[in-house]
Amino acid sequence: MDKDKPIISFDNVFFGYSSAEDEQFYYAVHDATFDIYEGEFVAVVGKNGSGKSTIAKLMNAILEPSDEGGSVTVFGIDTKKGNKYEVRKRVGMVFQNPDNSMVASIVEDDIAFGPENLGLEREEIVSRVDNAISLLGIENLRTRTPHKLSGGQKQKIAIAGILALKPDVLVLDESTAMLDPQGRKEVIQTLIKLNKQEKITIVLITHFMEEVLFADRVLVVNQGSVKLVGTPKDIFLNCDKLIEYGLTIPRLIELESKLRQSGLDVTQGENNVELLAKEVAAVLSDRFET
Amino acid sequence: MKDIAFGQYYPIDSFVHRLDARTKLLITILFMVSVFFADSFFLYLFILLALVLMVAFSKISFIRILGTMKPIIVLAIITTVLNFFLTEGEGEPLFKWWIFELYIEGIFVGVKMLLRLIFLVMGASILTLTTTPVALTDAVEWLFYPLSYLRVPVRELALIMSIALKFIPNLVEEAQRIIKAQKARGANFESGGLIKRAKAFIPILIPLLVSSFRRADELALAMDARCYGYTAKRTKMKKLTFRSRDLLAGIVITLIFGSMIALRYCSGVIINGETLAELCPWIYYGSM
Ligand SMILES: Nc1ncnc2c1ncn2[C@@H]1O[C@H](COP(=O)(O)OP(=O)(O)OP(=O)(O)O)[C@@H](O)[C@H]1O
Ligand SMILES: [Mg+2]
Repeated sequence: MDKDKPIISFDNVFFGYSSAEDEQFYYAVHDATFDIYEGEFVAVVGKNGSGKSTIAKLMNAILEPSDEGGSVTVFGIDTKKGNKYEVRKRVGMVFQNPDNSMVASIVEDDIAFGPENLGLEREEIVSRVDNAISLLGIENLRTRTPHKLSGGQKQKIAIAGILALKPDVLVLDESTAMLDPQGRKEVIQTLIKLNKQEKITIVLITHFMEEVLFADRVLVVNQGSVKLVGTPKDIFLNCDKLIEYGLTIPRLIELESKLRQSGLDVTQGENNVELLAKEVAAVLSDRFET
Repeated sequence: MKDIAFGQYYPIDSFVHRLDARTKLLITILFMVSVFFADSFFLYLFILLALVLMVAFSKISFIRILGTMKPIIVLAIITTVLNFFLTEGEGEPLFKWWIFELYIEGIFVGVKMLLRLIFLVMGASILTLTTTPVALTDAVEWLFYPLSYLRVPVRELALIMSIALKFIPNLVEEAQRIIKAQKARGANFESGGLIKRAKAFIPILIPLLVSSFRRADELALAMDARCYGYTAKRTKMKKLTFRSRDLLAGIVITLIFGSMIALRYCSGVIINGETLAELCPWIYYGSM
């Protein structure tokens, strides 16, 4: 693993839609430049319509930049010129609604869909399906029908379906948005495990700011381009900007920012009551001593 | 309702579940053809025997299979009543009231049509209850494979079929949600004449269509993301294989239906100077 090696690079990328209503041309992605490095866990945040989904689709060659609109390079392949399937094999994408990304009525058959598309030998397909199922700990769901399962379980199956393609990167486009808190927690824990154990690079697109804290790095997107990049801590020290970009701040981080404004030098930047309390106490006792 | 709708696959382990999907498909086709060949009550017993065997070896409760009849109960009753009163017989009517006349032939035709309907639905239900859509699709693909030489896209059509089967429960759920939402807005689906009721369904149909297109759009994206179209030589995880149990099931079913069809056409065979029909009239009782 090499955290200095970019595996996905956006170079001044533009992407536009022509609107059906007024026949105008709008840029959904406007001059976006950033890199994703091998093995990292990146969160992408931005308000509705800021262009997150479009960026995600550009990452696995479902969309390609407009003409003269810069370039997206994935594992050295320019998505405009290279083989799109090679890109999709290496950058897997999980969508928001698992119901609409499953093709088969039995869990294991659905997970097998990707490897079947690749034309692999049967033994290889079976071993990939087994592997994906055990990685997600869903052995008990193997022969079940997806539509009777919980949202979190369905989303795990969708992730397993992508893992069976053996991707190096997993892009999740608001894949936790439709889940209840329990399901969301399970999916996030799965992602952390895949990132740590399997060294899969994770790009998590989300509008739950709490999920940002699990990431190594955060990209803040607004109006189609990446406005802020940094660790969650760095990002949360920039609360004013986040609010300007239409994002909601976790209460604790907001409290911290207010404390800072009133002259208390706390820089915790983690959504953790205990740590914040300790730091406030430390800062205060420092003051009493001097 | 969702559980039994359209006889969705019922995942348990049984002899019938383990049969190759192609065997089951062929048996079901043979079964349906035989239902149309049987035309006397005695011959129906052969169908019943096959059905009882199929149910018993599938370990699915008889009640559950009967449950798949629910959507067609009204159709079944109407057909039976119409056959009762619209069939004209030769002798005296058994019963006469106003313009309605009931002949013994009418009862025969009505009861036979009802039995046929029940047999057909039950036979089809056993197939879909015991076979996963993927296996069923593979079997259909195998059956129609010769058409691919005529450039019919059999594989793609089979995939379309399996995806359609997969989305049935989603659509049923969606329709129920829309009905609830429209009811909450004061829509009325229960009263008024036929036309009024039919019109009341337009506000359900349109949102359902719109959401189906959205689903189709998302599904296409997801299939792209999973490398659909990567190679022309798609492989399959589960390969259908004929085993000895398929042979056994095939032989038993063929014997049952074979003897039934043979009996039907042997009515004129002469034994000891008499035809079979004269010798054993009970075999042909009810046929016309
Ligand atoms: N198929 C399309 N046709 C026209 N305009 C589109 C299309 N898809 C997206 N857009 C527009 O592009 C912009 C960016 O959309 P995108 O879906 O990337 O945003 P997003 O950040 O994912 O939003 P959300 O949080 O709602 O998912 C939006 O203004 C949207 O209206
Ligand atoms: Mg989006």
